[in-house]
Amino acid sequence: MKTSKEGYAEALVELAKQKEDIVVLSDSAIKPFAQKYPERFIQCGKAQNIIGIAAGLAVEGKTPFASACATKNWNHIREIAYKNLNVKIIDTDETKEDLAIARTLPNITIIVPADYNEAKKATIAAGLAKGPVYLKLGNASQATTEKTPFTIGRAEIMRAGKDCTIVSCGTALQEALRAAEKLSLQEIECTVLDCHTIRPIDKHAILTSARITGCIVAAEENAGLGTAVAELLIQNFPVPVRMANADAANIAKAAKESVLLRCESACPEVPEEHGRLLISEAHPEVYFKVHGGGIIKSLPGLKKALLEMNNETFSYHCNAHKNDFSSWVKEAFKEPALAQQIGKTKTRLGMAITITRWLT
Amino acid sequence: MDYTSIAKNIRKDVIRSIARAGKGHTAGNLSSADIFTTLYFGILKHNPRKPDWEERDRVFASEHLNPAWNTTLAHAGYFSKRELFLPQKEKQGGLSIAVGSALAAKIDNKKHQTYCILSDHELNGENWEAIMLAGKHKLSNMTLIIDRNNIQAEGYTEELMPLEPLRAKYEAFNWNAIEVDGHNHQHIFEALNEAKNSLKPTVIIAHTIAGKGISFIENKYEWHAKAPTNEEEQTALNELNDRHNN
Repeated sequence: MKTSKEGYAEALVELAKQKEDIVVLSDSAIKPFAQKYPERFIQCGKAQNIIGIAAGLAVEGKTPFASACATKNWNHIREIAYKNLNVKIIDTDETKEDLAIARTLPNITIIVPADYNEAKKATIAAGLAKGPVYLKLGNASQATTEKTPFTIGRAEIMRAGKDCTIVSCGTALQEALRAAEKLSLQEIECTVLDCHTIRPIDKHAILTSARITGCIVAAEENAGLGTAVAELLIQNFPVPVRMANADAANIAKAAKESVLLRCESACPEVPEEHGRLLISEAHPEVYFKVHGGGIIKSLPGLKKALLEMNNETFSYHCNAHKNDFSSWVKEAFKEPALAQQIGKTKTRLGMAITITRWLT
Repeated sequence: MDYTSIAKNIRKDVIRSIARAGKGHTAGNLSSADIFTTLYFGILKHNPRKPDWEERDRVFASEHLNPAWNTTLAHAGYFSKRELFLPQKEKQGGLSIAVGSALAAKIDNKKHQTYCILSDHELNGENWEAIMLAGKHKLSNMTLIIDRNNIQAEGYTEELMPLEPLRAKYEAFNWNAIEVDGHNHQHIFEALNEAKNSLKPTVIIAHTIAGKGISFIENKYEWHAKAPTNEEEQTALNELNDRHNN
């Protein structure tokens, strides 16, 4: 599997053909660029001022791509940000905190490509864009293809689903797609967004998806995307957000937690408007008697009970032979359509989401 | 060219602008006044009416020398002196950027010179890396001028972090090194000329007196980052005027 770094190196040569002012600085030869364009490649050694030299080149109208250890060059990176210089920065040190810090500096476009294919496109886009760009290249991963479109600032919808949105970038995208597959078997359908540009973040895509699914997971290798997503939502459309790293199991867990939070916070015990339901509370004669004890009187009550009951109790009421919940919804509330949907789901969480969606 | 008279007027406006701002590096801006004067009025290929003229010589200087630099620009005709006391346009400073700029010029075979003015108290790690890179690429179009006034915030440079032998350090990095009296305009001019013709990057180590021109500031490290009060400003201006009349 080719890595993002290889994608970057190949893209530089393509970019150099298009633009004469491309120069590359690094502490190690970036082949094949260094061989094809030796007069445009500046070997800097392990210097702590590579980004500073790049700034000088940018001031003179060049488009420098500088590979450097970000943490050792921060004073220059911040200068470039404040002065809006046309330098493209690639971190060579696998720094963990750089994206979070870069977010606090003005003017820097921050891109985290998912894999080799996306890294190529991102490099070319960065070279053609004006102003400073921070390009974060990760380890080997495969989530997009040559045909996947790429525009800076636009998140790509890799998968559509109405129960939860997973916003991811970099190597986490591959994991997010794996998690979505697993969750689908558990009746939770996820939208997966490739949000490669952390700044400027695709507000429209994230907010639209939040409105549809009502809950979010932000998945990434290091901190940066998650806080950007959380900031966006809290200011515009607050919904539950969970953070996860680039691991499919963790992402799936976070998704379930997020869905749970959404179900718990939505629909009060007694719905205030009765217009959505023909009957808001069941007739006392047909209250649902839970196996092992307990009574359910309403749909919000059913949702709550489903979230709280143990698997044994659930299996008693819903198994290969019967689905007591579905029957009850049809009989006590006269909602055949809802009853049918509940009849199709086999998991507690799946039923809870279905009821939540119906009521909101 | 009456460098002495120009430098005197620059010193007066330096005192005024720092006093008005309420903060600034008074001693260094006074000691470097002769360097700026000779550079802008003697050697520099430039056009104050066309500050972005493509063939102009480039100038970079550290941020704390902005009062001297801006004052020189105003006196050279880049903008009106009245604007001196307004917030100034952002300029680029630092040796790394200067070397990057000189490198760009070399890559494109451009003929202009690149100058950078630094104080001796800011020869830090990244600056030495820039010096190494310039030496490696034989940036003959690069001239660094050091305002060697020997002071820092808490004392004298040679006591706090000695730099000598400074000249030898540059030569070890494959630079051409020239030492001059930083208040002798003729010597500075000759050194700048020699730098233009050198095949290596050149450093001009200009030995200066901190606070030069004002008796109660000269050689006092306390004035490294101190601004004059209104009273001190007046005394300083009087002194500069008296000496002129003599």
